Amino acid sequence: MRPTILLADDCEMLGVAIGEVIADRQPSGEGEGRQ
Amino acid sequence: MRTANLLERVKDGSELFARACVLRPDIIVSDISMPVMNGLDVMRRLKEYGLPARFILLTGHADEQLATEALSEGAAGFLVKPVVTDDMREAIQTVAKGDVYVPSFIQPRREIAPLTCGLEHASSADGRWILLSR
Repeated sequence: MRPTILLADDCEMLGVAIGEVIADRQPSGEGEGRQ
Repeated sequence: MRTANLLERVKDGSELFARACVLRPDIIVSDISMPVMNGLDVMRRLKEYGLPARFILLTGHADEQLATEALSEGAAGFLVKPVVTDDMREAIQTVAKGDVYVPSFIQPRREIAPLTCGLEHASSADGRWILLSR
């Protein structure tokens, strides 16, 4: 059974990462901008 | 196949507290720095409230002291932004299994001994994170 998630932030980057996990997509531009 | 189900997205700590009490998610992924109430304070209040949700907290800085504080107070995961998808997926899957997801800049220490005691350590190939497995 998949876990349910409540997301709290106002950062688009995090929204993208979560969105790709939720949709189980392969990330685009992985690692770009990483510090 | 999806990794998880996103119930909702909120933008401040007060809203997070209110919605978490209603939705009762398995996992809360929260920025530490948020308007009204920060993520750490929300986690403390929700734990006092008795919500069993597990927390993955995020911050923009690889601050070992902050990460140690978060983990010692019961966070199940800690991530540094910008978060890449593979790290987010790994954190969610790890926390969903009941394990603890810790970035590699934190070395298990006395402050989080209750958390790390008896756990086995495994590092990712690139050294970005450490998994503490129960």
